[in-house]
Amino acid sequence: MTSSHPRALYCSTASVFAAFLLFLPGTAALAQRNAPDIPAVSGAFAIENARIVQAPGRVIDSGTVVIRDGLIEAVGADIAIPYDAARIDGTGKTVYAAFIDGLSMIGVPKPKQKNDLPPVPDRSNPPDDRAGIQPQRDVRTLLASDEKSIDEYRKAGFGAAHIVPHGRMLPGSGAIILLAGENANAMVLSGDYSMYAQFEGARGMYPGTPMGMTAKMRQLYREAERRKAMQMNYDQDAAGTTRPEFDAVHYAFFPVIENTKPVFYYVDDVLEIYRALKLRDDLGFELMLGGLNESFDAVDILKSADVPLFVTLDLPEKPDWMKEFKADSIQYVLDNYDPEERTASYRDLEAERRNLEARAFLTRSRYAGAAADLKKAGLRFGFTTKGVKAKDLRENIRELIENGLSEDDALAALTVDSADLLGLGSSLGTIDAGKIANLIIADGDLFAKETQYEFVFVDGHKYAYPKKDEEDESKEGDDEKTKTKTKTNRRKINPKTRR
Amino acid sequence: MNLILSLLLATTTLVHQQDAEQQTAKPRQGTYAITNVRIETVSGGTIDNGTIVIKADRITAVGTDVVVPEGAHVIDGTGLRVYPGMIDSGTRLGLTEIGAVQETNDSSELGDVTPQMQALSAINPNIPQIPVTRVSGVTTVIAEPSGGLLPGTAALINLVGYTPDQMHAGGVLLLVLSFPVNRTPRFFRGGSPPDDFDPDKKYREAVEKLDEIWDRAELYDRIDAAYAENPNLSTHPEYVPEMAAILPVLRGEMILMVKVNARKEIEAAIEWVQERNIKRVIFSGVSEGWRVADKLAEAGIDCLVGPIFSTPTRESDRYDRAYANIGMLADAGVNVAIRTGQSENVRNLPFNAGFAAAYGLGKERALRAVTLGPAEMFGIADDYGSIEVGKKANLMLTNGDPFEPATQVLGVFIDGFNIPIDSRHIRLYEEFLHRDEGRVQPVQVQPAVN
Repeated sequence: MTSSHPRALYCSTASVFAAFLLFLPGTAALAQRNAPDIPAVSGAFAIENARIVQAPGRVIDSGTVVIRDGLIEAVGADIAIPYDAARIDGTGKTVYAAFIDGLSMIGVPKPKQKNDLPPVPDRSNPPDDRAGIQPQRDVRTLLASDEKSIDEYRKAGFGAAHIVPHGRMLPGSGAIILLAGENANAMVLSGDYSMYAQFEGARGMYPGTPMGMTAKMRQLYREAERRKAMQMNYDQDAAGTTRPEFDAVHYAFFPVIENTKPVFYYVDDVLEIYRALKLRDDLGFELMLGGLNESFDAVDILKSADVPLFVTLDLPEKPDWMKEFKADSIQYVLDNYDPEERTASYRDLEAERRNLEARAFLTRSRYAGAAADLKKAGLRFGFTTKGVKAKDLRENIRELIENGLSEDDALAALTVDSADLLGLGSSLGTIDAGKIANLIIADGDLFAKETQYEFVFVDGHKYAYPKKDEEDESKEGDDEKTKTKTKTNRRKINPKTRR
Repeated sequence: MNLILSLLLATTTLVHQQDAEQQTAKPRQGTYAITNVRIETVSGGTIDNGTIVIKADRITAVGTDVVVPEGAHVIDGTGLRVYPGMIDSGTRLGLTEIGAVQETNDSSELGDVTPQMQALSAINPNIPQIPVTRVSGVTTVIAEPSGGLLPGTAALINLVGYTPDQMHAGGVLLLVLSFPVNRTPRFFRGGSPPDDFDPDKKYREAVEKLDEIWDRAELYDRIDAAYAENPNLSTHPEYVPEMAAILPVLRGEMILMVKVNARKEIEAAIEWVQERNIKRVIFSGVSEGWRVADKLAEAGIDCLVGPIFSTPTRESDRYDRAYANIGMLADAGVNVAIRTGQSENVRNLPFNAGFAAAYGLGKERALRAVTLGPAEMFGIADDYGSIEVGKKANLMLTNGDPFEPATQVLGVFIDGFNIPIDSRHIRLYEEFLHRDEGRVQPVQVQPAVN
């Protein structure tokens, strides 16, 4: 039982290393309340005692929404709450259907600009991919569930979106996605939804101009029709028939020719509206229009065109001087506006400036009033966020409202009308039992500036965006303060230690 | 031919026998009596010239007028002392063997929210660090997982046994919570932290995440209870292992071990556990505890303090802050225990305690902080922590104060097992203290003719 052995003091290096925390740079900048590694406890939620706007004009003053496993299970004033539901107190809050984006690139990473591409041998006849003709691409394969934009738009109240690839004339086919899901596949609601097209010319090669793009569209469509006919012949009787060559671009047109897939054209000025409609009339495809920035000049033709419309939420930039306008000063400026004003000398510069400002203001108002104009003409439409930063959305919607669109109409365009126009009316757009649980829980009026969307439910998943507390008081503790505090603390705690 | 074969066989048998002799020293339970020994009971003062009787896993008699049972192995303790076996309240012992060999490191699982990881399931009972540790008188340790916000449950283990279950002491499990830290880490995956790294923001986010986890755990608790009350409900609640692991803490059935060190974080952690109404909670680490000792005392939160051997947390601090911290906490009225936070150097626990004693804690309280103190905190004081009749036989026999480096530990009992005073360190020490190559006188060999 006896032995002699050394008992010396060693200092372990291993433990020193272990003490260091290795921080991983976060991938998605999700608010921590929504961190994906916190396991969900129950698929059931109950939002109680809330004002519920089931659809524009259909309001329950105080009621309950029950969600289970992605769907709205029950809505009403007197609903029993399931035992396994996470309860959310909706007192003083309003529940709305989450917004639907008619066209955007949410979740689609912007491709990096390639500067090292080899020169095109014949710029009048470049390969399709260089010319921006890639209708065979599928946005579902480009979607990235960790894109920052997904959370940004979700935070802004969006639950579903029609997304399309980045690109030029024919960037690829669009899909309807829900803004939630562990991976890209889980986000897809409906794929191969549309053929996206825009008047965005190729750089330095054909087709680079509107006439080139129109001609190319006609050419591709007609070629595809021919190819389709040849393929059908071959499929019926291959013997003795020359094999039709496969062409991915042409094949992508087949469902468009069959009218089972619409062409979604983005048109941002009035001429493009006419061009897209002319192509539709000539070729006969199903058309949907997005953008429509200058629809105020095309209300009548749009009325007769009978196509689903998705109006942009983008507005011309607001110059600094315009932001300073007050309601009364606007009136003053407008009262003094003279379209014929000419400046005689440099002394009148101020008057000219004011006149110019008034003109800019009036022009901008036409854009901001475009949605209201369409509504007045009796047209239904949804909205598109393409090109709008998520943080500007609410402000822009408010401007549309200030320029004549009613709040209910704005809500309809963001929810029920958008859902109907996209053909999703049975699953999205209103708060009704059986629909997909895409909801906003707002602490005030939907479009008011100070309103916070405290929770956004997408596909039954809860995302919390808690209101920021009034600036943390815990900002103390810089070195100087800590030092002095430490000293007093030491004396207070234990005067005997230094013996 | 046969002759050669049998010779060969004979040699191998011989070697085997020698091996066997070396290996015979195995822990053995039985009936033991340590006589004429000074007994430091911790709970009931010192008994001079006393006798301790151990039967199976228990202490069956302690005192001066104890009759040594017949057939007992008698150990003469004249001039020696018996102490309760020491408890280290925070280690990675058993979870890691060689730091540089990743396959042997099991203390940390990937992920931030993994409370369902159980350190006990990863304990390797056969690593050389365990004998190295126990022969220094450390009989029982907390083995704790690390990494992430909720790395798993820690377990109290006795340093004897072939399986983790045999080692598990008193069924003690603690859920570990690494309270969020507000500082820029010194090491960053992929080099230095980005310029816009904002530790305040990271901290706030981590606290938010913790709150969300706890909200969901409380919901899980509520759903689980509702279902237990009425199992005929149509839907069976989901099983969420992470939340199921937190459940015992919410119900006061398990201790929450909050690892927290900096002053502000300790304050935040106190507030958090009070807000969340956590019934059983212990803080671990607490290196800046001395700055908020009164608050910790007021909150009545027990602290596992250490490692004592460390540098001060701030450059402006006195050199001895880490040594004096635990004493100041105890002076303020906080219940304290000592943790080394080590794996292979848990054996230095007595010297951690020695430094704590020398820098303000005092010998008596330091001894308590590695014996009865932690046993009480973990709720196993009926079985562990002092030398009393009926308690588990976890004790050590020394020739002096165990906190002095010169003192030798001459015997160790864990769970009644008489532990051989043998370890890799001792073997290496013996090997090179008495170098014996085994060489014989060289023989002159004549070259063959032709």
